[in-house]
Amino acid sequence: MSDGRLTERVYTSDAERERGMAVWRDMLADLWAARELLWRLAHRDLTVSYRQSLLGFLWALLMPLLTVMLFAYLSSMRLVPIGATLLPYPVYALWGVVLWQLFAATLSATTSSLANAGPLVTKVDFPKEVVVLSAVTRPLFEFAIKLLLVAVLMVIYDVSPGLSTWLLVPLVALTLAMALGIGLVLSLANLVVRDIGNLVGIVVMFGMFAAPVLYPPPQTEPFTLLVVLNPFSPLLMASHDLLAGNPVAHPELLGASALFALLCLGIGWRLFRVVIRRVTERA
Amino acid sequence: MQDARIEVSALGKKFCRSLGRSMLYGLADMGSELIGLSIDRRRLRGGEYWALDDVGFSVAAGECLGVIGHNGAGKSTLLKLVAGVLAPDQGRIVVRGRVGTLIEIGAGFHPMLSGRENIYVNGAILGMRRHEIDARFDEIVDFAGIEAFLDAPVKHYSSGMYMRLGFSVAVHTRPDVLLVDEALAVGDAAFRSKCLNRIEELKSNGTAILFVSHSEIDVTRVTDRCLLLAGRPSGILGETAEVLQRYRAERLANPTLARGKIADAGDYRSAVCISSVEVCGPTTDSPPVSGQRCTILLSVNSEQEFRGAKLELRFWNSDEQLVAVLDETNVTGHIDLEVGVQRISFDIPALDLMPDHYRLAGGLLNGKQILSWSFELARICIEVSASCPNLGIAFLRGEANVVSESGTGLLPAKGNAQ
Repeated sequence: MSDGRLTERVYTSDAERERGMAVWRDMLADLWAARELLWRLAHRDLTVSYRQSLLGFLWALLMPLLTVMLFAYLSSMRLVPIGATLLPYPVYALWGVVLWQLFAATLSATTSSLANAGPLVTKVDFPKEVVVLSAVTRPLFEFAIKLLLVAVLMVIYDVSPGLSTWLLVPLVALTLAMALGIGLVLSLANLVVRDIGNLVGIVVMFGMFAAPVLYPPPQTEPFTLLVVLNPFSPLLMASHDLLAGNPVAHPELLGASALFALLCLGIGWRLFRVVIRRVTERA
Repeated sequence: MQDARIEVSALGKKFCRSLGRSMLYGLADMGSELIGLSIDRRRLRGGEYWALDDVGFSVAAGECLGVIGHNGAGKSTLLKLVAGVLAPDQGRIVVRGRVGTLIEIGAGFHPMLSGRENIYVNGAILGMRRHEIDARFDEIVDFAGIEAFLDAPVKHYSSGMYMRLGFSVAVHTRPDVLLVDEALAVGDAAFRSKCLNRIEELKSNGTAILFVSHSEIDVTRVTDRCLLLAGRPSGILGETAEVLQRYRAERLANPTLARGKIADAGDYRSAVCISSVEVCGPTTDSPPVSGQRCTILLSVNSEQEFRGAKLELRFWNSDEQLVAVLDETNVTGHIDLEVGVQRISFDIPALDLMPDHYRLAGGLLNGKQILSWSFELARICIEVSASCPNLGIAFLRGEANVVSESGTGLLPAKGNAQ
């Protein structure tokens, strides 16, 4: 029993709106207070996902490896024309696939997170964004494993980008922020209409081909749009530049993409916070 | 009230009967909320209704408020609103302190994790810090009685063990406010009693409790006051005994169930058929009244002669509990059945059953042989009388006397007490 100062919570129909800008402080405070829960859920998700598996996280390596081997083969057989890339093709493609999978897996995991949590969401009150946030754990963990594979390939192909590699960290963070921000909104939608989860599955499957993951950025007219319109592409292209030891070729695109990612996260989180109770009611 | 842990004022919550419209309204509400429009929430749109309207109460530290009402009266909705899972449409809820919920026991348990791991996860969900869980870990395990299975995945737990563990974690969060939603419905008698003890213990330690239950016994035991949500959304608030009496009276006033009705031919019969049943009170055309004489008249059509047949009757109350049995151990007289239709009268000198709706099951037996049996001979409503208590399920009679100091004799002055 915590006597003395008791935290007071007030629920009204417009509680969130009435708080105005103070709501951002509340959001951060709530998230901070729930840090232990976040850690618990993250830990739980990781433990559970590998508990009934013999190879465990090694499976995470198989998918990018097979994809890259397939495309390297197709390319070398000239079955699929792939132009010159900044880096040796296997390194270029593997890094692309690995970063894309971080984005894609985060997006689909966060989208289905609330719906998968079941009664936890509909019957218990706690900052629910923690559920979505904890869904990032597994994609992020597997990303870390795959980085080892990328490192091995970089050694084999003698790619040594130097200190600028560290600039990849903010790029990866932006990728995560974008996926998480979109995921926060989609997780709500998916709680009510489960079609969203399926839709995301399809988008994620074909999305890889709508970004210069396995091919160099297109130079011909209609296809260059792909790079401008896909907010993920500038992040990927910038990371390729960095890995090759070059300056970022399109800083303006990167800036737009970064802004988009941060807006996604901010707006997504705020939206989540405002509507979560109304959505729960209809889950 | 300064010490109030839960304050609810003018609370309203509306729901929509149609799923499609509910989605549409939801989108409209969210949209206007996001752009900051204020909308008139008093207005009901097509298909909407007030699940709760103008509900107000407060619960002080160390107090337990019961919430009763029939299914669909809005009890769980109220609890979810106070828990903060749902947002109100009207009014205001203030909750002070840490909230423990026994709404969905074991929510957040992962079947693949062991009991030990789940205690930590569930504890964190309910707002406990790691060191708090560490400190109370043994207590939690001990209360749940699952030491032997602590490291087994909970998917291998029996539902009782699962329940016990969930309950145990929830009540060990040392909540300032505890919300209980019919959580005790499962679990065996011993554990129920343990849970109620724990709830009383929390109460005496200053936890404010909101207790939703269908069990009048549990409500009587742990609550001080009750909120009755029945029929009208706003509810009736008062002392537990008083509110329970209102609730019971309201249930009995239900016009669809009148006095004894004709039963069908019986669910099981051989050579004997009970063709009609009539249950009368003190006079032939009055309904049965609690504590008074009751006569049950049966029309029996037999194809054979049976000497010394026995009548057996069972009374099931509205909670489907078997409350009384009349069989060869406590029924005198026997029936000689002739071929053809016969009227049998069965006399109960004092119908000492609590006022309620009862299902009367029973039939005729010849030794071990069932001649006729019906699971629903009649549905009767036993009415309230002046001499029946408000609480409890059993009806006892007693007499109080003053015994002289030496213990040798009774004083002439006598008093009656129920």
